[in-house]
Amino acid sequence: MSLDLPKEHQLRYLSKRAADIEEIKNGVLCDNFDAAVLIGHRLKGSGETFGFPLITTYGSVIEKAGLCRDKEIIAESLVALTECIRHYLNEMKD
Amino acid sequence: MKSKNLSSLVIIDDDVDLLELLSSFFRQRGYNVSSYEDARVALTDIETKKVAAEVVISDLKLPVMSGLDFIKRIRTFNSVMPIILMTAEGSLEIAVEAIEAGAYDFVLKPLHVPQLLISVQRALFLNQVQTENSNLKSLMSEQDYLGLKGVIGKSLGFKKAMELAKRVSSSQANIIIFGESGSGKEVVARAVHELGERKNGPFVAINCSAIPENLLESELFGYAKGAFTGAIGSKTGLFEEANKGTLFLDEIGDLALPLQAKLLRVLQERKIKRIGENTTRDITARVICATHKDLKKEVEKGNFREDLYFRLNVIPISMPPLRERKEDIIPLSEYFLKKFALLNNATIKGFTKGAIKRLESLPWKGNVRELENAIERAVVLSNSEFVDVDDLPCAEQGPSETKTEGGMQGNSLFAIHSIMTLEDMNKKYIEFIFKRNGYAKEQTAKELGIDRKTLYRKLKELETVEQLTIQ
Repeated sequence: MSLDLPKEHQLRYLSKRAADIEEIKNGVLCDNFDAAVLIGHRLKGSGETFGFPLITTYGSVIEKAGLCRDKEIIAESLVALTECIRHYLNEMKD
Repeated sequence: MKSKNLSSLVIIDDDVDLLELLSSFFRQRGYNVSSYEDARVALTDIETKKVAAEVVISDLKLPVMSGLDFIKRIRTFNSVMPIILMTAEGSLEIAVEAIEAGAYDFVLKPLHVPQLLISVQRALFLNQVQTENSNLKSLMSEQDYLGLKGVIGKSLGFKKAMELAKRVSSSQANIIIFGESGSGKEVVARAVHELGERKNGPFVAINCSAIPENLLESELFGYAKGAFTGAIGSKTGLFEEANKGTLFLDEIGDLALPLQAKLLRVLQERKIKRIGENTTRDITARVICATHKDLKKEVEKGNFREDLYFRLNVIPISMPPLRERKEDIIPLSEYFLKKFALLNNATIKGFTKGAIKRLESLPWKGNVRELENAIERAVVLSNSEFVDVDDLPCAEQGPSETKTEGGMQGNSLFAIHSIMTLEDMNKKYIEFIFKRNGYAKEQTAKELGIDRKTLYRKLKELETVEQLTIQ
């Protein structure tokens, strides 16, 4: 049995991630890594569930980097995550 | 049809996206879902029964109250509710800790939702089995009147009979119980047995009217090997089987005269001889008899031995018919409802006011047995959580659809008391089943255990086709 997620569910999920990225960025700029750990953890748990395995991968990296207070890796991961979300959105439009 | 509820799920996760996804997934599959972002709120709602929760799915890492703390708190007031923990932390230590805390299952994020569904289905099955088990245990341990299971009644007549049963239970005197069929004579006999010193011994019951005379003798006394044709081995009789216990002879008024003489001898000498044997055996069983007949009148008519009557009639106990103890109807009905709801896995909570009125107004000619069968039928047929008037028999129906003393299904067909030929009986029976099935040939044939062609031929042979079609 497949999950057969409705497309609207997936689109809504992807569209809400922009706010997550912004929140992590703002936290890191103020040396606050809580958002990176919490949101990274959530993305790790939810990405693949919604059909986006790469989001799970980046979520895991962001969570770990947040725990190590590694701004560089977080910044790189956020760029990659933004790119990945754009890619998924384009794929869904097609 | 049984009333069926949606299975109730509680889902807790602070990730709103996942919470929405899971809620929507399970709702689409017919589950009644309550979703929470905060485990404390869920805990309060479950504890105060604001929400029904047969299974809980909770995230492990939650703000304020973690999934593990949630399980520990739930277990303080509910030891069986299955809780499935979800986590993105895939360590073995956490899994072990969760199971030790009382989690039913542990699933990893990212979730494979169909796998979670299987876990939920299994948890629901466990919950159902545990609930049934606990209900059955409570029903089994329920102690009713005089601390006896299933002995229910509060009417004066019932109490009088049971109090007398209690008083005579410790004596050795012969007891005879009078009462209409289905009024609960065996319940009284069992009470005498359970309340007396013989309670650890066997309680052996036999209906004297249900067994042919020659068979009854060998049943009661047993026989030696070779005592008669077909006696390829020896057989212990019921008098011996009931040693150190109680032998309950129901419908003693129907016992044939030669057997009455033999019973009298056993009661006097406390010894029996197996058929075909010369040696006697001591009997220690207490004998309790019962009848729906007026034995005094039977004595006058010459159908019952006077000496046996006096021997048995040391302590007579009368169990009044149900129509003379109306106060017992509702407690009995509630007891049977609970019993049959459990047996049929139905979620029926009680009776409507109309149903109670109907129960109290019916004549219950078949007494408690008829009431029991009517409640069983109502439980099976009821579509709602409460048994309604329509689920119960009508006053005009009388004792229809109930079991008679001999255990045969009672109805208009078997209410015919006059002797009829086998052919007539056959005809009546086919006609009865055909009518009952709304003249549906397929169902009738199925019920009669024959194919449609045979049924059609039989209907034609019996010349009932035309008659029934007209009707």
